[in-house]
Amino acid sequence: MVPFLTIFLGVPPLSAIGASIVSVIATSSGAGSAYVKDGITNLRIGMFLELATTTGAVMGAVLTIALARANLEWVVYVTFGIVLLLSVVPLMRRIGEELPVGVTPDAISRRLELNGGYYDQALKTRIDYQATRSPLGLVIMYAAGLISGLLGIGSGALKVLALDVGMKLPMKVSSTTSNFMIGVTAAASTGIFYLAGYVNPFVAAPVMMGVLLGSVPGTRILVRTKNSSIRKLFIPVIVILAVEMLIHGA
Amino acid sequence: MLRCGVVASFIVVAIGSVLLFLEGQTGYSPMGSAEQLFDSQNRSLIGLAPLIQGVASAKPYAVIDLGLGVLLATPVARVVISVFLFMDEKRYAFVAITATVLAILLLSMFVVAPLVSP
Repeated sequence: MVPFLTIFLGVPPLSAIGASIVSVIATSSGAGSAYVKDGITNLRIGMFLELATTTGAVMGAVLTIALARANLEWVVYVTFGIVLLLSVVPLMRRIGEELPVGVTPDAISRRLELNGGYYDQALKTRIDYQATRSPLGLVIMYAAGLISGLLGIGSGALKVLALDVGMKLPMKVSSTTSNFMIGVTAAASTGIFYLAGYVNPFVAAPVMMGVLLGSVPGTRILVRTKNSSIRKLFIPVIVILAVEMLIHGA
Repeated sequence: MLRCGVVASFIVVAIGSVLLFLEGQTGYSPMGSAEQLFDSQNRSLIGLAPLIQGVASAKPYAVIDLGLGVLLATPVARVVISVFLFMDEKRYAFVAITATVLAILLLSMFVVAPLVSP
């Protein structure tokens, strides 16, 4: 969305980022509330990691405002291009569906009881799980927050990476918990953009309404669409946008 | 609860946008070329008092800002609720963790934001 607003509509990066991060809250709060009722989202693990994401998001927002003021906006463009290109890598690699086995908790996970269980409707069985490597989770989450604040995106992919690959949680727990976390992370940076006066109502209003209206049929279509077809559609779109952002910044 | 916040903010932003179209003026900054509209002068209101005054006099931008404010408050409200949820479960370590997250959110809004304001 930020590439679209800046490249095709000529919106300054800061206004585009401000409008984008506002809409991130809208989608996360809309979709997230449905998941919590499913009993899959792990509120404890999510809140523990929010310590890192919110701190990162504050830093990211401050950094992006400082860069824009110093007319170093190209740094934001180039970072965006690189992050987009990197986000294609996990999309192209097929992530294994199997449940993590033989996970031994680290000291923090054991102390805070970062574990849980849910009923898996596809496997028709109850899945109990245990988190591990929570320091690694915190580090990746800090980076996710930083990028979220810097670029005005949800950085859900990085959050899933921290939960799934880093802390070895089942994929369903990772995706629902990251969805819940995105809204709180975005609130940290949006608070800065909004209260410091960097959100342009003329840009933010249509973006926010469009994203909300689009997310309703989008979620329905997404449920019925194969993951592989979605990937095939997304990968070229992301690559084109990434290249455009890099050219714009250079 | 969360959905309520999102729906309420959508309605308020929609009302503000309709006002903007009907009146053809923002209530604040000039509205002519794309440069003016996307300009950094064209931005959200700073402070509660101008927001309330703007909404009271039905200025389109103020109404949109109010809607965006409701949206921003939604996840914050969720964190507040979580504090009480953990208190109920007697998980005091998580009461402290969640309260810290809330403190970071409030700090970003009321301490960091004024520092980076133009």
